[in-house]
Amino acid sequence: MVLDKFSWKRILFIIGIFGPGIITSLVDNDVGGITTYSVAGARFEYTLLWSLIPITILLIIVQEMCARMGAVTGKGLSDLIRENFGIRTTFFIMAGLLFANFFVIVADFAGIASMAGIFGINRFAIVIASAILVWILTIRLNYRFLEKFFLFLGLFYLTYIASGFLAQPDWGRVAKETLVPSFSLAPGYWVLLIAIIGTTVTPWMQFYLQSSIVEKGVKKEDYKYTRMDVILGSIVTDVISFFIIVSTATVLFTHGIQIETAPEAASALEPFAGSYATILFAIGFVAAGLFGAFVVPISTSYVVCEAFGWESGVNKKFREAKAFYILLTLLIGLSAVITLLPETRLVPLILTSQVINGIILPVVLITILILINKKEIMKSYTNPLWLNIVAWASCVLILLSTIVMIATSAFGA
Amino acid sequence: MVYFSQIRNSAVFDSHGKEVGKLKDLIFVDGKENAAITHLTYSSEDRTERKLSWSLVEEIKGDRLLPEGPISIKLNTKKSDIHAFFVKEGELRVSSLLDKQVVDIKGLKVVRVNDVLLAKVDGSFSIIAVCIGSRSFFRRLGFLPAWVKDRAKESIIPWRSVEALHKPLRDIHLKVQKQKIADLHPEDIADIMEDLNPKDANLIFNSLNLKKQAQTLIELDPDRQPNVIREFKKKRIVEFLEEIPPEQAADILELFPKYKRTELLTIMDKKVSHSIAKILRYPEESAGTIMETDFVAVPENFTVKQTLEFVRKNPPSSEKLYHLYTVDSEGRLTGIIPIRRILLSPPRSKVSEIKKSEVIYVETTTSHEDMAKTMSRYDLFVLPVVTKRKKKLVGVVTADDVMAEIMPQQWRTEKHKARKIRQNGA
Repeated sequence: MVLDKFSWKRILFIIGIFGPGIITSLVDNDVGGITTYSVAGARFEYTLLWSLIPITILLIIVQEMCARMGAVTGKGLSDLIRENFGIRTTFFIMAGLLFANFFVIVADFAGIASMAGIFGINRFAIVIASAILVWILTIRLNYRFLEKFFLFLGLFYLTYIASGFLAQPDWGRVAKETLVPSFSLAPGYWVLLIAIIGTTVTPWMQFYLQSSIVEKGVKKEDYKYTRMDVILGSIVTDVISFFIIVSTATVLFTHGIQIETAPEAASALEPFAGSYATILFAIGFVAAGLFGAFVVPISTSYVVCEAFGWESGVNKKFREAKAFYILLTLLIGLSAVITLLPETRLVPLILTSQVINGIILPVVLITILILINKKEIMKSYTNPLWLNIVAWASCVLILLSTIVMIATSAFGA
Repeated sequence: MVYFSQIRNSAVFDSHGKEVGKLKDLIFVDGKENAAITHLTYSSEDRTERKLSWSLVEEIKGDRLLPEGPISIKLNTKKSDIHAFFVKEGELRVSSLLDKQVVDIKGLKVVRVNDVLLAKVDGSFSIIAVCIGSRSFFRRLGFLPAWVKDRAKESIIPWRSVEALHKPLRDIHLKVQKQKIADLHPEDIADIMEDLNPKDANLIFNSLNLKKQAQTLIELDPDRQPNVIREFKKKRIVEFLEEIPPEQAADILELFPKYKRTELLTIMDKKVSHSIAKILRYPEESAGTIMETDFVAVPENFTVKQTLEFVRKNPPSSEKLYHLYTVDSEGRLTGIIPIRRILLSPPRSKVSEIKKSEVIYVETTTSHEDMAKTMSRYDLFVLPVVTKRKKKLVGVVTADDVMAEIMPQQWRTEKHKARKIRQNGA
């Protein structure tokens, strides 16, 4: 019987539960995230590395709560919001989420487009091709299969680890800067630190994570494995962030090269780390963009339909789930079109979306904290006091970072 | 007819026009066709929620110009004469229906309740339907834009075809004799379960009887089956497998990992486990895995009368009784008799005289594809299945089972097509 517990079946079962946490965290390292980390490395070398440890903890705290709600209640976050906060709050959150997520997709397509030059492909062609690919695969494949495809896409993030090693950093100093916090008074330092926090926790991922855990049918008793999934996912994500910072810091900072965007970072790597480093960096970046472009539209469509009680699912016919298909198609199609607008028109739109994100995020975090402490729905799985204190503190920290981030990008623009 | 959103929070006046409080909720008892409202609750001056019998309500009055606008409620009693009670726990509230998912068992889909439609039916004020769709959605939001008003019709589900999913309403709901999910076709139940999250799906599944559970489980999307099965206790699985035809039991057993399969077979009734194990041993995609073992075979020397008596005494549980078979003392297949021929023959004639000895049969190892070809070539929709060496009759295969196996996987996910056709036809 003891043997039974450690059988292969058991292990396969545990692996089967894995996925949502890792996928969510990987997509979290989206186009914006990678850009922020690249700039952080190039400008402040290794001195921001230490922030990754507290940020990992922050990410774990927020995601763990959603994962727990999913496993205990068997319901998605939008479900719970609708049933506990009524129709108006739901409408407000969904409208905001729809808008914010739309621009998350725009940013992903823009990220793909920005790398077009490095591969020598036309900008329009790459965006349109990606949008069509995303649309067709989303409609044609069932979600279980799509999830496996996502995990495969996640492997492309390994290219960043390779880039990190190719850069040949001074590992001793890297280790020290990671473990010992250091502060700088340089003007951009704090802004970047805040940007790193702001890019880590986003509204869409809470909804996505909880829904995919519900979809897996994770039960209370098996929640411990899901928690491992969430923790592992957060760690893997920040390990990747770590290598992005390390590679740009080692190559670009040392040679005093300033960059503002990810393609600049990719190109700047070439003379020092070789063309492989550039290509790897670019591939990872495009994969990140594609990843987001896959996950965000379909999860947004599901979440919104779930909240409003509309039929949803790619196994339904168009006639049966009209709202779902229209939403999905508009999210992908319209965002691709907007991406192709000249950059000057894009900037105010992206700024607006950041503001919307900033408004929605606190609302979502607060609803999560209220829901997770409700005895009627969480039974004995509510937050213990210490976690509530840490969670509220984290939320305040995230909120402040978001506000500062919006303010700085508003001034910057 | 009024909508719950119209009277929620509206003022309740006494017979002298004095305000008693704001209406908070309605309390109801469930019923077969409609659910009668028994009480209204309001927030009194001391801010507690009190309830009043609905019989005290004299009239509910709205503005004619605003058909979906707020409504006020007038009581037939003076405020000072009103005895209000506290609300007990466990009473069914109309508000608890709002925003929840319910199953529309006529339309076979899962929907979310935006509003509740109330009306006076047979002298009592009752819930007659729940509202879904955009019109009720915007009404709840508090603004009904003109374009919604003109275009979107109210879409409702009558109370009799609503099945709630949350406690405590569900518990009471199930006791009321009305059409339930459990009365639907297994295919449709599976469809509904696929629309729900695994937890609610299990809730529905557990309300079915054993036989229905087995049928539903087989119809369920293969991705969802493991979730349902994990819920079972060992003893229950065994009971369950003993209940259903062995070929279906074998299908279900295949969902389990191998070690679990063996374990279940050992604790099962020996006779049942024997026949299941036999099916499991047949090669994949062979006649043995899909044949029904529930058929009628009689000895050669039976008369028509004896045969009919035999069928009456041992009726096959399957509805698909098209042919009888004759076998020799070893159980080897010797002939086939269409039911029609039995019915038309004189009672004293021997079955050996009316049987067709030219029988097209397949073996337990024949592949699905070859069976389909045989059926098509000889225009048959039932094939007897015999063992490879001794030619003993062990089962029958019908065309629908073969078709289910050979049609493209893609078609199986398009269940809604079949469903629509059936609904339109029925």
